[in-house]
Amino acid sequence: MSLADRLQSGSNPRPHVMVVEDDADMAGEIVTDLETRGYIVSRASTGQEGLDAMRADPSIRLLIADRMLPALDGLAMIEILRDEGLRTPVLVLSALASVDERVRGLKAGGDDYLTKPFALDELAARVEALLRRPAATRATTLRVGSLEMDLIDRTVRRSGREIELLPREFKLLEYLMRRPGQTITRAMLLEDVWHYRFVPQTNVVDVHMGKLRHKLDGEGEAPLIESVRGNGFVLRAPD
Amino acid sequence: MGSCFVRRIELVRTTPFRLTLTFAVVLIAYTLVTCGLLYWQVARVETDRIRTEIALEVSEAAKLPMDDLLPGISLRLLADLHRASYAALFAEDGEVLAGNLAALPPDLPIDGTAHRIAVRRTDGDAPGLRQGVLAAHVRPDGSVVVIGRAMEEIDALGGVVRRALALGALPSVLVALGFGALISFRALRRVRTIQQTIGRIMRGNLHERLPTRGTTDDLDSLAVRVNLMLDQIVHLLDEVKSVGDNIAHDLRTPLSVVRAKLERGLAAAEPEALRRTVGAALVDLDKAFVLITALLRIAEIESSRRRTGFGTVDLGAVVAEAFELYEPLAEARSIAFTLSLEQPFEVMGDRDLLMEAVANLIDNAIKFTPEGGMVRISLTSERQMPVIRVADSGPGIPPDEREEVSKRFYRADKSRHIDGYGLGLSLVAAIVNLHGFRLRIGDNAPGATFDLICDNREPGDGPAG
Repeated sequence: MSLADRLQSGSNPRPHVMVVEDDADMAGEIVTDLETRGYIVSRASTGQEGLDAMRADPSIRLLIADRMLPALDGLAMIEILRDEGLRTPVLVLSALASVDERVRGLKAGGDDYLTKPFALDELAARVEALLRRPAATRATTLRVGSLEMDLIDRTVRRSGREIELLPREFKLLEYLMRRPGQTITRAMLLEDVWHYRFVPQTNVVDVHMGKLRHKLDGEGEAPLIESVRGNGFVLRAPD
Repeated sequence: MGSCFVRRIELVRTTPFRLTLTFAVVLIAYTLVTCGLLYWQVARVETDRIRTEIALEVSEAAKLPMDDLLPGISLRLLADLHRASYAALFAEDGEVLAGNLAALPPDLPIDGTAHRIAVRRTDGDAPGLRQGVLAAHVRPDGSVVVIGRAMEEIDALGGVVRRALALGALPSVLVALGFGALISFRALRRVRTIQQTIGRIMRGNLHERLPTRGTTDDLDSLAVRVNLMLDQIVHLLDEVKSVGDNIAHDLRTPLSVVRAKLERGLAAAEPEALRRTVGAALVDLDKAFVLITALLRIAEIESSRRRTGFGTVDLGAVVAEAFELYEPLAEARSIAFTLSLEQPFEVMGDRDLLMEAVANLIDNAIKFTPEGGMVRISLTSERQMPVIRVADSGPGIPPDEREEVSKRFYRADKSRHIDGYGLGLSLVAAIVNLHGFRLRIGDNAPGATFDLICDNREPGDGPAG
């Protein structure tokens, strides 16, 4: 099952993604990779082209824009689109790693910011995350398969069995349960759960995940958290 | 010829020459004023003396009997070889009875005091009106006696002063100009040498230095400053170059490995072997990406001096959060991991960057500490300054390498078998430097201690990390 298949909801066909990137090689890789994963991908190579395409086709569900584009800059393009009322999620790609740049990218109307070089798996995970924004749920319980989380009592049960979690483990599991079936990368966890933006040289994230897994999976139970090789983790209800 | 002219103009334009010129003008003006005052004073005193003398003489003459007065007048005029004296006797009706005046001067009051007026004398060879100081006095018989003195002597004094001025001032102006030209020429020669040296430096010869004479004059101290600046620039360039070399080296290594793996994969017979090598190559490429990302972060922090994100930061919370992130990892490695927060501290800083620094220190400590070792995190104070200490029981850092450790890409030899690039500490050093904090590396016997000393002095003026 491809990511895009999993993203389909109801009658909606495969999600349409727009890529605005001036570097032909980079764009080619992104387009090929996303198509392999089941998306319909259009490509533009200048800010103006991107602007026209976004205005012309309201079926586009995600915009991936390079930060620096010839003539009309990527951020300027996003700002114009946002001013025109566009609410499509935008992922900004940039070779500029600075914190200020990131803040500018998000202020201009970007929803996420990915610094080059990046792994295609990371890009795919971010695309998926943006397309499946966690429902701003008012529900007080989250449910994934046999796993149930009570957000008020702050308790977790699996098949009725109560699981004791430390606060940090609860926080981590809540993040995963709001994004079931979605690949979550280590970088996303560090950024969103712990609010760190650095690359640890130890397997610190994996250890947290290992402990959580250990607590979730009882004797003879199917594992709930899968590892995505070299990339991240998926919380999924066993079939 | 042309160049000679240009050179002369250059000389006139130099600062020392202009200073000399200004000084000469001031000197001349001062001399003029002084001499003028002197002349004015002397002339006034002399004139006053003459006036008193003449007033006295005329009152004496008015008292003399006529028989004595007439020969007296003749005698006075006869003895006056310079034709500087006036003496005359007029009858009551104005008739000249004796003396060298044609008529009683109409504008001379007959009051016995001296007046400066123009008169015409009858003797001598210079007809016309001449300046003189004269006094007229009425005698008992009604006749009027006039005594006076020509003013030519005093006027001549002015001429003497003017001549003396011309004779004295002209040479001093010439001497000043000559001296000015000389020191200007010497200054110009030094400046030209400096210009030539700068030219050579600009053409790339960065190891040239401006000549100095070991004095403390302005040109010398300027040259010394410029030389210090050049030293610093050369140092920075060397640093940049070595960083570049290191990047090239540390990137070339993983890239060569990737290349070799891919080559081997292509040559492999079964597709499964190719898949495995490609997978391994990807892991190696990721390492290269991590390296580049960390380098970009360091470059950003080092160059930005960014203080926009600064605010009040609760150090205890920063340390506690990092501790929480690493607790499971330490536990998994059977490392005794403890936290001690002695007292709350707040500093001015960038919360995200400080969290990154502390997390990096802990990441490093755990990475280098063997299984069963210990890592202790504490927030204490030292002379009222908050200190975040990360102590481990790893291999430690030899004293002579402690400074090196915070440089990019350094890895102490003993630790080379452990994965990861020595970039964590470089990042910490960059963050610490941005805040104006200090990073101190010490001995934990066994192991190392890393102290992040948070004294909020002016950031950025510490030695670059």
